[in-house]
Amino acid sequence: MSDRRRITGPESALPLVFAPTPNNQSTTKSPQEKTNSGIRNFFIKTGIVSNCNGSCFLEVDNTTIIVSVYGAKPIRGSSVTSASFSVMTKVSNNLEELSNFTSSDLSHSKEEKEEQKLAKEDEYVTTNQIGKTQLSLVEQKLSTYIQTAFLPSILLEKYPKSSIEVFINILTNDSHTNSSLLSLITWCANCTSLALVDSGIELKDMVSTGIAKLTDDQTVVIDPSYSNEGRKTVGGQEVRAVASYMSVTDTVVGLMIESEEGVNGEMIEKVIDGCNTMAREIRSNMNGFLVSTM
Amino acid sequence: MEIITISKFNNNKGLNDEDEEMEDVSNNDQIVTPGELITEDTVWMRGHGTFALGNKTYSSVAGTILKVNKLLSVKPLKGRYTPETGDHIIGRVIEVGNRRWKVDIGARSDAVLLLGSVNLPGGILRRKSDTDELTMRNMLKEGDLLNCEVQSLFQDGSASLHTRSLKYGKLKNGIFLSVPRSLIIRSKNHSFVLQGNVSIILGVNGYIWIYKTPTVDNRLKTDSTASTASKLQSGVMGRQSGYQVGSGSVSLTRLEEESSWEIYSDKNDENISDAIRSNIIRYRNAIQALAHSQIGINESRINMAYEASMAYGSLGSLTEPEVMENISNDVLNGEKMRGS
Amino acid sequence: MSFSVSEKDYLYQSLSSKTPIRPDGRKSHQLRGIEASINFLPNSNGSSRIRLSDGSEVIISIKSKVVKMSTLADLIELDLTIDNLRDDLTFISDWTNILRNSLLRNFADKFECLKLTTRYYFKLYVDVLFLSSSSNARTTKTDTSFLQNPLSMISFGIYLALKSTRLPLLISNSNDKDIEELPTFNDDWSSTVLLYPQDEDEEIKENNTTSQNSSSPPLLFVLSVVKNNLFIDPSIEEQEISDCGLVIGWCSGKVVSPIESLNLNQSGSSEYIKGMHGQNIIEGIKMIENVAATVSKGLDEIVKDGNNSVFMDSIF
Repeated sequence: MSDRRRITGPESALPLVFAPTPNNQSTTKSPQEKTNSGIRNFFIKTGIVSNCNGSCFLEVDNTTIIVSVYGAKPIRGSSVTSASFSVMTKVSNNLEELSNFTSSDLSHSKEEKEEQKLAKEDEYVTTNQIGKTQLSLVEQKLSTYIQTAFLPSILLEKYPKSSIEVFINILTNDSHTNSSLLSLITWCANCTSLALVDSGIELKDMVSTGIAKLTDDQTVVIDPSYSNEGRKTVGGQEVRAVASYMSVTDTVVGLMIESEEGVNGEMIEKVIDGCNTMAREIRSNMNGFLVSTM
Repeated sequence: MEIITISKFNNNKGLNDEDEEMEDVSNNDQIVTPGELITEDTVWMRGHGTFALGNKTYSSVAGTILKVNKLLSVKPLKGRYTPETGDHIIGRVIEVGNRRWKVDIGARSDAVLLLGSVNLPGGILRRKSDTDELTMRNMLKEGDLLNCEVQSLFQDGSASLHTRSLKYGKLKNGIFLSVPRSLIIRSKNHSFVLQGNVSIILGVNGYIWIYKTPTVDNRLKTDSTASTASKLQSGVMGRQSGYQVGSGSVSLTRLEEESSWEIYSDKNDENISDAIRSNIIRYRNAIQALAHSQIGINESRINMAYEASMAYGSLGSLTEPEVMENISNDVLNGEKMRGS
Repeated sequence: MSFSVSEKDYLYQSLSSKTPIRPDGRKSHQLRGIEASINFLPNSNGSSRIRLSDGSEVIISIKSKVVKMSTLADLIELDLTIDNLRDDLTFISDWTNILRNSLLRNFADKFECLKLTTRYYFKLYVDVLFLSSSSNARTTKTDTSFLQNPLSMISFGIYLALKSTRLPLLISNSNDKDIEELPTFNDDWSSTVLLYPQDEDEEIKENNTTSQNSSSPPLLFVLSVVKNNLFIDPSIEEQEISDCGLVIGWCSGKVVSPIESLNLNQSGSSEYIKGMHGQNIIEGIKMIENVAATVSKGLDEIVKDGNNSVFMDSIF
């Protein structure tokens, strides 16, 4: 007896075969050697979130970021002559690692470090609790930086009575160092830039962001990959900076400089120049990517 | 150092002889506080700032006693502006509504400027049309400052404004300043042309606009009454452009020109010179010095404070309290010398 | 509520010209004068109060508590309240972060002065209340358009409060590595020690190394960028139309982080926000290097004068 509860297919039925998955490599930018430009290889792909107006996925080392842009969509209420622009950041994973940022900012003596490790577990709990209700410190900083940097670039006055929302989702992050925040900001900003282009929102210019550090011996390192070096250099005279640029007007739209010690104009100039170099490189990469995906 | 001068109303003067007859009522200059007994005499009508318990009249605010015939009221020293019909004030648009603008005038409630109470652009006085309703934001929008007059008061004490005169309207070419409204001394005229190519509007509500004196053809509209203005103007005209037909009177055709869209333009004059800009700031700081010392503000005091401020070369030094007090002292001494 | 178009245009023209004229006539590197007093809260370890002539005011109280060592970052807690605004507003937590981080990074002797024993530390609670001059003009509870950036003023207040902070004198053994014991203190207020010792004695000054001597809390300076001009301590009008804002830290004779860009415009309109040139940043740092020492000297004078309310003149 055949199973009457099932509708059997016709005799000539064939098993379902899925089409081969398209090769992602087509949208990857050409791989670059770090020795060339000093910038790590990164992978970008736009338009991967379907229910938003624009999105971008970025992967560099083990850090993965998805930025989605919603808008411009109408908002109720009083008349405003330009759109409102807001940024929300969510760190999905590795809260523990990122919470390090605040505490490891400071240089400790060795014994303190050990004590700190003991205390870390407590801290994890508190961060988690905070993370549930409101933005954590890192998320907050990131959101503010992105918002400040992109405000000048978006033609908000073209969208009266509407809102543009940017959601940054950090899926994984592996930087164990004190500069994870700066490096995260850099890549989030670059990812946001592409997501905004993808959304079709009118922009004055694409914002490109660079990161650089000035080491003890006054050399500028572009896009320093901290995961290799660890925290060896902490305690010395080290200046780290992130700067966002709009190249059309050659203006700095976002800036964040961190240093344990005092700095002077000369050092800042050097480190900002480094950021600028990287931002230009990133910009030309992004241009190339956009042209290739058109 | 504290200097408190209380601006008196003109109509107080006539009452001085009456005061002596009714001795139980406190003297004009006396300051009363809330809950203070003013009089037990029942002949007085109780006005603003007072309340009654039985036959006794008490003050409900801290201020000076004001008597008009048999009406007794207390004028508060501090507090928000209370609009009165005919007041020349400055307001800021905060909302564009249905055939009206909501205007902040520093009073307890926002004032209303009806579409029918403004000069409609594009021609002589005409009836308002549906297009006007749709283009209201082109005339006045949120944030705009305007020079206007209280037309009437509503039941709840909020004001209805009007700008139906060429001397009223949108403000530009200058800078805004707000002082406590009790410091503005009411007078016949509240807009003045000052030396240094600067004009000023002292709103009764404590809002002040200091701006570049408009050039020849506009000058008449802002201050046709001020004699100093016309003098100045004729001087300037003689030098710059010679005689202009019709510049001495407001003709109907001119009215037409003036009330075109130009009056609602946001564009400032080009090339406002640095000299004028710094003069404007000097006036601003001079007024702030007067306000710092709680001295009533009028045209002559502004001029005196301005001249006193000339002793201090740097504009920045005028923000120091010591300097501000010195300027105020100079003004008060100057008044004593003149005997005013 | 906002400024009118022509007002903003006038201000922008005045500030962007070659010889800029600020709306209150100040020079571009001139701060607003402040009136300050310290130690006016009897229940706090240290307190300060600063007022501007426009009526805005900042009140700071510092309290201490003995805690078991966890992380150094936990040793300072900062709470910022502005008028009666909700404390979960983004910019309030931003400002709190900036202030707290600048304190953590530049705290005296790397927290050595808070160390009691190997196990116990003092924890400092810094409570900041900022009363803005605009609270009167505000139409709704969420209207923040007339709120000026208080970072600089608050950092001055924290500087004064920390310099006036006194901590109880430890009388138990400071080494409890082997035997754990609770720290005990001298309960006489007159024998308390200053968190930031004042170097009144000239001898001490000479004996000590300069680095120890000049240790003082960090200061933050807010700069407004308009075209090629920079303005220190911008007023609300200047903030509204600035191309970009910049916050620069200064501590113990040096420019320190944070050096960050800042959105000064509170009213939400973005028409004037443009960003700045790289050169502006360098110029800003130079300006701070020139001005900051005078400011900290002025603040030190206030600390020396003690309780009296002192007016600090504007800096030229």
